Amino acid sequence: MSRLSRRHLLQLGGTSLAASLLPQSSPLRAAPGGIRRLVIMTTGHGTVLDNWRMDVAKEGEDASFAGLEPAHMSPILSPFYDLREKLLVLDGLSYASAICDQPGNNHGIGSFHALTGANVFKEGDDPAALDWEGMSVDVRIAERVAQEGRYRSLHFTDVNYNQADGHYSRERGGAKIPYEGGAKAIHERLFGDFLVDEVETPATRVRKGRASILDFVRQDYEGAVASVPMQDRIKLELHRDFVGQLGTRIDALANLSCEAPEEPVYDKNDKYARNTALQELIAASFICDLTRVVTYEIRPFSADMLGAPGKDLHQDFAHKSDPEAVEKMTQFGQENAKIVAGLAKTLDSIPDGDGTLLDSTLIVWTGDIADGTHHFARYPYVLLGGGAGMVNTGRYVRYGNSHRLPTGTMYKGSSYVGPAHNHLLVGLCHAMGQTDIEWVGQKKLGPTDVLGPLPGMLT
Amino acid sequence: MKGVTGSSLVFMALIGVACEGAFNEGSPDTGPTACEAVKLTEKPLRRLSNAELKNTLRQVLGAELVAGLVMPARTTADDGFDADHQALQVSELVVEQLHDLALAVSLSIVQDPLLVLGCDLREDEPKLCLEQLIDDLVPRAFRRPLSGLRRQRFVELADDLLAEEELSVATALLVQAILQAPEFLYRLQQTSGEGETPGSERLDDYTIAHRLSYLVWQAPPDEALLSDAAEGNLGDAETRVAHVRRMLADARAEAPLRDFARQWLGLARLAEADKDAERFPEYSAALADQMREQTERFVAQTLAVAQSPLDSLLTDRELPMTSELATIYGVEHSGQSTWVTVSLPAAERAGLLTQASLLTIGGHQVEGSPILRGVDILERILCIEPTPPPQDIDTAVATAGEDEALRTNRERFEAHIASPQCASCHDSFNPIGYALENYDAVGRFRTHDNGIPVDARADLTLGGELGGRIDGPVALSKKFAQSDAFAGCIQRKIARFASARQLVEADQCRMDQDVEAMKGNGHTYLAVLERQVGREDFITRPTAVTKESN
Repeated sequence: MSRLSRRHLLQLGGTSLAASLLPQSSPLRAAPGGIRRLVIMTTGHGTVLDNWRMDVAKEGEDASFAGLEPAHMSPILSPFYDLREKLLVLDGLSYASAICDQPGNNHGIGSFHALTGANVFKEGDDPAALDWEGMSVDVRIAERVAQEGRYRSLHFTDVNYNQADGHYSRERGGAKIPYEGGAKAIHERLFGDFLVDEVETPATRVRKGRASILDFVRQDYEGAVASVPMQDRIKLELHRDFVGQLGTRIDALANLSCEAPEEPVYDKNDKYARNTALQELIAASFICDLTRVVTYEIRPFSADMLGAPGKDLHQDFAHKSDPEAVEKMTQFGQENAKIVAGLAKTLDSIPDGDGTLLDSTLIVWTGDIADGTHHFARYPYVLLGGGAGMVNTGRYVRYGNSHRLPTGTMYKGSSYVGPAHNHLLVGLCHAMGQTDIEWVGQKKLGPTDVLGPLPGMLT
Repeated sequence: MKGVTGSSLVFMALIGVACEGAFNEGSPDTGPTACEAVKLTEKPLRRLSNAELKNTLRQVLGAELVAGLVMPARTTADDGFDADHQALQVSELVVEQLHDLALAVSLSIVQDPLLVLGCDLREDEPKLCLEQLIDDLVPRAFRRPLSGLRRQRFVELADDLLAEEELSVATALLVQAILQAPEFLYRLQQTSGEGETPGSERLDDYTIAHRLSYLVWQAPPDEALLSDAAEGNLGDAETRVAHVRRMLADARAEAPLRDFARQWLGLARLAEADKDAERFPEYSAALADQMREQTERFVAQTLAVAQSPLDSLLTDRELPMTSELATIYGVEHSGQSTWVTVSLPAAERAGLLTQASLLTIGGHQVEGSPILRGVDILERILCIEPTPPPQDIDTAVATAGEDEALRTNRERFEAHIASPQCASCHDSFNPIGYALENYDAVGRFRTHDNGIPVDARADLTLGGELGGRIDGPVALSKKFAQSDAFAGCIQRKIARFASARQLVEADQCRMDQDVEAMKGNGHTYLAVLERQVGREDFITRPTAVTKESN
């Protein structure tokens, strides 16, 4: 096997990745065009709708961003002005599926529905046996776009420790997927093996022998599957499949020609630095084509980070409507937007085929609740990037309340809410090339079908 | 997703309901007939939890090889328990981390194969060394004798490895395979024929042995259990009960109870409890970690070491204390060791509800939250799940300074729920939180809030034994400690932890019977375990379907 030296190509924490490290002539530029990638970013506490919404389209209309002036951007969306040609703002979608589900803590209900569009698990449910198999849409997409020998999907969060309970992504069978935090640990996981000493020692023999051991282990699980009751098999089947993929990945990555980034150096107590480090790892993993799907949870800013020491973001601002609370939650939304825009700009600075990595990547920004009052209507969706030309960007779409709720269900005094986000989830599948997918989570919500992609989303 | 799974909605030990519609429906028929009708409960396949994995590695490989190993990522079930068969389902990341763990062990072994080999490297054939390793290590790792077929498979692997590698590398790779095997990472169950109950299968004695040892120790069976398993004695209820008594008296029983406390009370939330640095300069991540450990130690001390009645959890004032925590509690610390046991003032503290851990979790950055505290106690201490707010309700909260008339934290929350729409449900849990207004956002006792005497009187509207007027946190704790609701709830939480699955009707039936039987007759952790392992259900499972139906 031959490997290039993989050090020193991506200078993390310094100047722009693309400008300094990936010149147009670089043979190590991003993977060729035609690849589609997906990043789903999530934030909490919803938005301040009046300061998120742009006054460019009436309900039921859409507007082009062509000729848009900076002043036309809403305060929260202003960080996206430079990206407006690759920006699609979707105003007015609802989590109709959550409204139709059993009541509960809306943060929990919302984070479950965000990427599933399905009802939360009930007592006695066997998630693997449900017709949507308990999978969130990122996993569903990743299973089909994953390449042999690479990571199926990566799940990150910006906490200052290494592992966190996941809130959004669900494995086949319904289990929550843990999120990785801590760029140093992630770097070690993704690129650590790139930097091993090539001098052969007993230790390197052990490392090199592990792929064959994994094949032995995979066969063990294959044998064990048949010995357990039917309802338990998915656990061993998943284990068997992941072991098999890991063995393949170890071999494949050992032969990969790609430059590993330097170990990130950053202040782990600095939220912005943590996010920058994570984003550069996402970019590096895309450059090396290590994965095609990333889920990325941004945890809330604290009040003192918003210039309000001594205050409590949750109690003093998040659910309130007085002028100070509105100002701080607007700032909160804007800071989140800066982080989302930061990833988009990083990807947009890296050449990929005839365009940039952003052109082949679809970034989706969503969350658990629509606003500070825990509502499920009028979600603030932001999409960025081209999804390889599949997404109709450069526009603002404002939907009307077209989704009729089941008889007897009223939401804020109306029987209608905005289009169900299930359509957007179907749209994500289509944007990633899975155009045979007709529904995600549920086929019907009350009297209304939720089949097909969201109108106005795709080219 | 706390509070949205079905199980906790179904079985609530609610004695009276103050606001109609404030709670989800109560328990179904739980009389003797219902219990008789459903004798068997599922024993779903589960991977070893991190605590179990660490203890098992330690017992199989020795502490030296296990020190410093990084355990895989932990996820929780929707009700917060991570000892749960679905939460323990693997992900791509976890399988890689389990592999990394096996790799780390094997990299130590390749440096010093005698860490696991018992042969004479100068005299013995390498093949003999590895066969000895298989015969010694694998049965301990798999917690049962090795079948001929499985032994042959590992011997063949050893032969293949020795054909290519020197002994040290082959040993390391063989151990890698063992540590990733399904029999090691999962608690596989084997059966030994039909059970007494129609439609059941009898678990074999080795499966019963590990059910007992992981229940009490979160560790593999010891020699005494394996010996009884080998002799086929574990079908006898008295033998199982005797083992439980023996094991609970062992120091190894404390760590699982600490783990139980962490999961039951959601103590991991302390890692994300952020407090205002100006208001609480003494607060830090390290102090939060001590709060977690303090409550864990308290629960283990109360239930395993002292074997006190379960209601002592809400009344005991003897609390493990560090010098840093002593400043929060306003007590002296002797300095004799890091942790010393301190008797807290009777007028200020009584059991879990008054400990800094839960009070800190039940607070925001600046102020305590009667809502968070009240809901947490309803759900975790009384097993009552409040009906969530209507999805389209406005959830605004008043803040200090917004209205000069609202001088205290309590007054601001009272104003918040003043509307009938809010009050109908908040009245069920806010008063519980009001009774805890004697504590600030990190659990310090206070008599004044914003210069105004604290009003910790509360009119509990839960009804029945949980209703009525109380004055302050100690009275609140005493009232709940004496309630049937807490007795049923703690029984339920222990069963949830032990079964690693959501509870079902048959569980509730038995728990009700157990609580009734133990009432006034020693409702201790030991008594709960004795009744659990003494049942036929402990050694059987519903007959498994192992083939696809056509």
